[in-house]
Amino acid sequence: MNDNQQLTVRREVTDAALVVHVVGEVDLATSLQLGREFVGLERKASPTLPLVVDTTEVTFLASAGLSLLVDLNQRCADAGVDMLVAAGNDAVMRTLETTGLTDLLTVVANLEDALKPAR
Amino acid sequence: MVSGRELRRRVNAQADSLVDARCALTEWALAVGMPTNQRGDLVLAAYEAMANAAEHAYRGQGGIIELHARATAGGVVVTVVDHGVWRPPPDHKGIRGRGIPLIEGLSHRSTVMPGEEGTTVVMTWAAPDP
Repeated sequence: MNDNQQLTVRREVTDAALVVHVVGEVDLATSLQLGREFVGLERKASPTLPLVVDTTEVTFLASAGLSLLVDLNQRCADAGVDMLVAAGNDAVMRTLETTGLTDLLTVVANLEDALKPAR
Repeated sequence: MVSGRELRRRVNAQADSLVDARCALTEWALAVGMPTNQRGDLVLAAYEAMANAAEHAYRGQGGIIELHARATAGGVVVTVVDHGVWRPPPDHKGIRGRGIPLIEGLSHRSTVMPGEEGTTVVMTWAAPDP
């Protein structure tokens, strides 16, 4: 049943941001993989190139993934890098809101909003 | 809501097995006619209870988690039982510890009962008004 293709992560540099597209399920089974993908992102982005974590195609977000987002957000803050989460769907928003993380993270509704210039 | 239907699974407390259990629960919730938004809440809350057991009660060493879901006319009850050693959620929320808030926040009612022989988590969702 598990084909180890539950999660894919892709990086993209646009004029506006370093975008990390996270696609699939974020849970205990995939959080190690996601953690590895998140390593050093705060150094690949910069104070002039914000980091956007695109979760619009995340179909399941468990608490194991929330910790990774919070850690990454803290590392970005320490490095003076803006980090935005493009939530994009109800499953992600529900998890973020229920845990109060919409107050801690900078969450925008979709990827277009995250890539608007002059933030 | 289709009452009387039950799902009963013995789940290995390992990340891959939890994925299978989550799929089974999703199909079951669909079959008993839970509304879409409740279904998402149920699957995530139950997953967090199982993940908590795998990570904290069994500390990644494996063990058996008993998953039980039952639909009644009044709603749905999900029970997750482990036979590991309870550890209270860490005060520091930076690393872990968002599982319990999800269980509490996504269910209509929940209880987490630690005991000497394991932990029982019971979560309920009331049937929506017709």
